[in-house]
This record gives sequence, structure tokens and C-alpha cells, in this order.
Amino acid sequence: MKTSDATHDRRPLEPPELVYLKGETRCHYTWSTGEVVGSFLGALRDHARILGAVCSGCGRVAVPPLSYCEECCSAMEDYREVGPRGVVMSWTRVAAGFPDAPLPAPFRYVLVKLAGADTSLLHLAPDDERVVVGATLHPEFRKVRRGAITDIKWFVPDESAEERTREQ
Amino acid sequence: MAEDVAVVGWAQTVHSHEMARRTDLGLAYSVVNAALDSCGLSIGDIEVVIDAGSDFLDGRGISNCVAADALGAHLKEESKVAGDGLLAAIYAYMRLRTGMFSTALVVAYGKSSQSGPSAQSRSMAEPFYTRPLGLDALAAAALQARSYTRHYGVDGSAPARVAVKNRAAGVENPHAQLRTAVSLGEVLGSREVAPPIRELEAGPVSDGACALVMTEGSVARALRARPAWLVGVGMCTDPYFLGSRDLQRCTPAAKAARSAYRQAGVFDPGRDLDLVELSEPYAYQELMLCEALGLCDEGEGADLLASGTTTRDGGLPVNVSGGVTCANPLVATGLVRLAEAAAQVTGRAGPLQVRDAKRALAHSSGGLAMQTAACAVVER
Ligand SMILES: [Zn+2]
Repeated sequence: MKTSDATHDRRPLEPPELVYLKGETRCHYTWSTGEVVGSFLGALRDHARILGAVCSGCGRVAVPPLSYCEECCSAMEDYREVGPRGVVMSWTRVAAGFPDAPLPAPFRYVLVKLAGADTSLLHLAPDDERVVVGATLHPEFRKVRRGAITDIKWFVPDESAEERTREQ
Repeated sequence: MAEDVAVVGWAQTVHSHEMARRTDLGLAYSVVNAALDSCGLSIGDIEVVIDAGSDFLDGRGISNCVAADALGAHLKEESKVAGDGLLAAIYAYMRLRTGMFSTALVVAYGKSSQSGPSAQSRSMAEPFYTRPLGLDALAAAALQARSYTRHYGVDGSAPARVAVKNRAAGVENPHAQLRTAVSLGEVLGSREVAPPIRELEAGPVSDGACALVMTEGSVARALRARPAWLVGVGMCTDPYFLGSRDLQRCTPAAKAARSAYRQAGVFDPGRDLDLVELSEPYAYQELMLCEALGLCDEGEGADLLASGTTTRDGGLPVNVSGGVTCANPLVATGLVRLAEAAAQVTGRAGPLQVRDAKRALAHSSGGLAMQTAACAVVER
């Protein structure tokens, strides 16, 4: 901060250094997840089970569920359990961490088509060379679950899930 | 009803990674008068202003409340598109077609340096299923790139070759941010920022703005011996969720183009268009878009590229401006494509001029992994 009483000084001003202002937009939300998204998140939290929504119009099973069908605009009111296994449709690697990242880097993003679903679920996987298109993955649920998509920690290759089970 | 609508004036900034000497609105303001000057109109001649901006990039909700004054909208009809500027141009086109207005100013601006593109794209994520996973535009594009290249067996070097072509073209573009050519080896050797996408296959992030003046036919004829007639438009959107889409094809671009072609009387786009300006922040997208726009058959984008057809001297140049590979002012990107197309078909493209260009297509995309598409065909 600069202070000056030289208000009477009428010499031309030098062009200033650029002035930057820092700021942020703070807004806290309490989102109701509604009946449909809430049912999915509740099933994850309470039962470690994955629900899809069934379209009343075209019969499509959407995972994660929405209250509307993205394709035919009919209501989605019924649920069907899907998975837990799924097949990798695509993946990429996150090499460097970022603020509020869901996992420490490196990790992978995957699109997993769960058994019984007509859509793929975006989720996470370890940076494991077995996580490739066509691989079968299995969800690893967190012990403490709070009703969030991240109640599934990630999807792991089937083999390692079995290995883990054996180790326990 | 107005039968004809033309683009008569345009201006864009010299895009750069940070334009610190201007605010976001200063950027927008700088192109408003330049676009008016380019066609000999003054702000008093403008009846309606349509602008495109991003509340998140600006850091203000419903940011056009603040922006309108900088866009010359004083006591005029003004309305904003929260999306790419090409959508704003299409909205203006529709207003002019109604016959209720005869002149329109379209402005799009984005100053990404204020916040950062990754934060911007993460803020677009819906909060229940996507945001907790931290998905950004780059990772979403990478998931699409893998789906596409794997499905059609596209050679891993094809996207790199797109980047080489566009960077070479951008050297000639006075408005581009990146004006140096790169070799195939450099692109292939660049870091995989989100495999299969390499660092040099991703466009830069730019600050920049673009403005267009559009008028109905009689005004256009009075102003210009040769206006750029806007003869076809189309828009289309895919589902938001990547897992609900066919990621192997860019269906929204295909449908938007089909609509524009039908109106414009384009039957064989490979023959009936003289050049194409695409919005492809990631190089693989140019291959997908060439297919979606019918410039080649499905799965043959890489073959079209290899044939040399889409280079500056080829039969159907794609991105002679260097495209988004060389400058990516978010929100303004697609409007820049239309400004480039209009300049080409009116013979005013300077060092970028494609000889005898009569008809061109401008494309924009929006959302994660090209969720939305808009297309416009201009001709002289
Ligand atoms: Zn349905």
C-alpha cells in the first residue's frame, strides 16, 4: 500500500505497472440429490450395491441413473441392480495431481459398462497396465461410505480383486 | 421475413496466453469498434446485440449485465448465449431472418488467463456423478480419443500429423497465438498429457475476442459489393454423460452439418465446399469431424489427411488459419471460425487466402468431448 499527500502534484503520471486483483467466488451449495440420484447414492452407501434406472419408454438401463431418459425423454422410475463387474470401454491416465483430486496421482479414468447396463459409468481405476479396453473390472467399495459416487473407491482388475480377497 | 442475411464486418484480437493490458470486457470492447469500422457502420446503426461469454471465466454471474455496455448495447435489445460465439451468430441470424431487425452485432470473448481452463471445465461438471471424480476437458477428450482411434484402428501418429499440418498453417495467421511450425517428431515426442493425447496435439489456451456485424440483405448489398451470405446453419447436442454417448462418432456435428447443408444446397460437401474451419481443441477431433461433416467416409479421417486434401494447397483445405491448434480463445473460438470463413469467401483473408474460395463451412463445438456442435455455411 502506498500513501501520499502529494495531491497537488500535477506532473504527468508515469504509465503504471499493471495492477492485479485476486478474488474468488464463494458459494456453498446443499444439493438435494432427488429421488433417483438419491436412490443410487443411498444404495451405494447402505448396501454397497449399484443401481441402474430403467426407462419406462425404451427400456434402456442407465447407469448412473437419472430421472429422465436422455434418449427418449420418458421417465425413469424403476431400478435394477447392475454389475458389480464391468468391461472397460475407454480409459486415460492422470499423471499429476490437482486440487480436490479424487485419488493421489497417478490414477486412471475409465468408462466401465457394468453387467446389465446400456450405458457406461465414468469412474476411477489404479494406474495398472491391466486396465485397458476390454478388461473386466470390479468395484472396490470404501469401508466408510457417505452416499457419494466416490463410495466406490475405484474399479480394479478382476484378478487383483480376487487376490485381495484371498489375502484377507 | 428477411430472405437473405450476410456477414458484412468482422474483427478478432491477436490471441495470446495472457492479454494483461485489457480486462475481459476490454477485450470484447476492442473488437466491437473494429468490426463496425470494417464495414463502415457505427454503433448507432446496430439494432440488436448478441454476445457469448462465460460467467465462470468472467467470475460474475449473468455476466452480460456488466458486459452489455462494453458491447455497445446501450438501450438496445441485448441477449447472451452461455456457449460458443457461433451460437450467438446463429441466434442473430434467426433474429434477422424474422425481419424484425436489419442489423446485428455479435460479440464473443473469453479471458481464460484469469482462472485457468482446467478449473473452468471442472466447474462445468454436474455435481453428483462427475465433479467428485475431477474430470476435466482434457481427460474427457482423451476418453473420446481412445474410443475413436481404437474403434477405427486409427494410426497413433494421425492426430500428431493433424497438429503438424495446422501448426504449419498457423505460421501465416496474424491472429494466431502459436506461429511456429512443429515437426512430426516433436509432436510424437511430446509428453502424453492424457494418453492417447500428447501435449502438442492440444491447442493452447488463449485470451481473445471476436465480433461480427450481420445484416439483412438490402443493408448488406448497400454496404458491400461482396458480402458473405450466411446460407445455412445447424445446431445439435449429444447427451451430457460420456457413457451415454456414442464416443466413436461425432453425431452432433454430423446433424448440425446436415441441417446447414440442406439449407445451403450443399449436396457433396467434399466438392461443394472450398474450405472448412473446425473447432478442434484436440487434434484427433479434426479426424472425427471430417468424417462427421461428410468430407470423407466414416473411419477415413486419417486417410483424408494422408491424401493431402485438407492441407492449404489441397482440394479442400481444413483450418488454413491453423485452427484451434494455434489459438483457442474459449467461447470466441467458433465465432473466429466464422470470421475466417467470411474473410475467405469475400477474398479478404490476406495471407491465409485460399484461391477462388466461394463457399466455406465454420464449425464450433462446446461442452466436454464435443458434446454440442454448430455449423454455418457462408458463400459469396
Ligand atoms: Zn428411454
